[in-house]
Amino acid sequence: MVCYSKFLQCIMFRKAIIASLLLAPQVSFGNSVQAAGKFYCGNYDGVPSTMTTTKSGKAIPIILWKSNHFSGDGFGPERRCQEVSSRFNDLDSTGRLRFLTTGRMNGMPVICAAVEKGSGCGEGSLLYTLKAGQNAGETLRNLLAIRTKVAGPLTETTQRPYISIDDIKNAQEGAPTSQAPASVSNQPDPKPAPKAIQSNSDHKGENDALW
Amino acid sequence: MLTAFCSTGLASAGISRPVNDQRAVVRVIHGESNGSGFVVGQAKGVALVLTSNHVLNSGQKIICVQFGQLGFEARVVNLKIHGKDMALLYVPIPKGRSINELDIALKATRVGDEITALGYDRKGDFLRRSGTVKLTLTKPLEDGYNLGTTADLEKGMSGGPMINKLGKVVAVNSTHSEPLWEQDLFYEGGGEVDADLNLAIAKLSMGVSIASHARLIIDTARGHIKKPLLPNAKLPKQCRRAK
Repeated sequence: MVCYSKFLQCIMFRKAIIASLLLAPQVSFGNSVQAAGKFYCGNYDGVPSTMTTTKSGKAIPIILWKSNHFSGDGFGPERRCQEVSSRFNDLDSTGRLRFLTTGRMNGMPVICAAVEKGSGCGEGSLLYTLKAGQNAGETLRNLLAIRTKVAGPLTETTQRPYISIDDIKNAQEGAPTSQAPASVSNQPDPKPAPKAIQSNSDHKGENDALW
Repeated sequence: MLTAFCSTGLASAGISRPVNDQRAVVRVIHGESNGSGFVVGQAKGVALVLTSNHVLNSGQKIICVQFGQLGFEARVVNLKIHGKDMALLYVPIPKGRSINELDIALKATRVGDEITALGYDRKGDFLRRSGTVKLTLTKPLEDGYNLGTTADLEKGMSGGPMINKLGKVVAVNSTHSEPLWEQDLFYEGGGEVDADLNLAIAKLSMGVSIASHARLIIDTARGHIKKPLLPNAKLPKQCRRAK
């Protein structure tokens, strides 16, 4: 009985921690998914997505919420989408989206906003909580890339092992099928320009087009 | 003569742009990340594709390069060419297939030049966006961005080429105008961009000028093509284009 009671306490404690991490200053959405601010929870290809609309009217998804990792605690993709979209607005309205960083809250990796450049997560600065083991640095890097870079959006999927791009390159170089020449210097090459490798004219009428 | 490399013959003949430049532009898909790229070299059974480094950040193992409906697994040759936001991929393709490739312009682009940005949007539709060069930075921004244009880049066009009137690549598509939220910009090697320039950049799409990196790209491509000990083309399920 004692054990059972402790078990329940433990479960409740865990839920409380997760709730404290996942909840933000509340914004009422009612039946609408559109928040009052610049960012909103919308539907992108059937997926709840934190989105924004540019001045020229383009609706751009930022994070696609697919992960059910926190669903057991009542924070499924739709709820996380709404909560995090409102946090985007809160941080944007106070100018703190400029200082996004990573940190840990209650032992969980998080994306948050610093009070000023170079400082850690400030009070009320949580943007969203990552899954245990998720690479916060890479997630932040990808999130920042979405601000202007023409790739994206970010997808919060159910847990999977993270492989960094450097790991991929290293794995490929070490793989038995990799027969690439020696690594290439990143320094400017002083040699004269090379001659043609192969022009398209060499292919004319010879092969099927790949396309 | 560098123009011989990758030349379709049309550019040097003075035609405004190669007829099949779309066929040299590919989709690059890395997990959930969608971008574009373009062929800078080829031989039987292999294509060398230039794209943006930031397209390759999704944490997935297999990098896909799609030529039309066909998608092949790619290998990384160089993740950050000269430390810029450009990556070179090596794509084994079926032997006996031909592809198009783009010529790289050796002459730097100037303010006032007209360019066209090519690439695919997130849905996989091919886009061609024309604009004028409004900004060239002698001191590039972080990741090497140094060319600002009015061409309206869309998400998914990262890594695609910006071509000049002769159809030669002058830059790699990198960022769109209208940042989704405010952020300070920094120069490569440090130093904050002043507010006026930051504001000007926010109204432009940016790219990485390619002329000063052409030699490394071409030498690298050539080196990989000269050593034809290639793995066979792989067409993993996840590289297939959704219908």
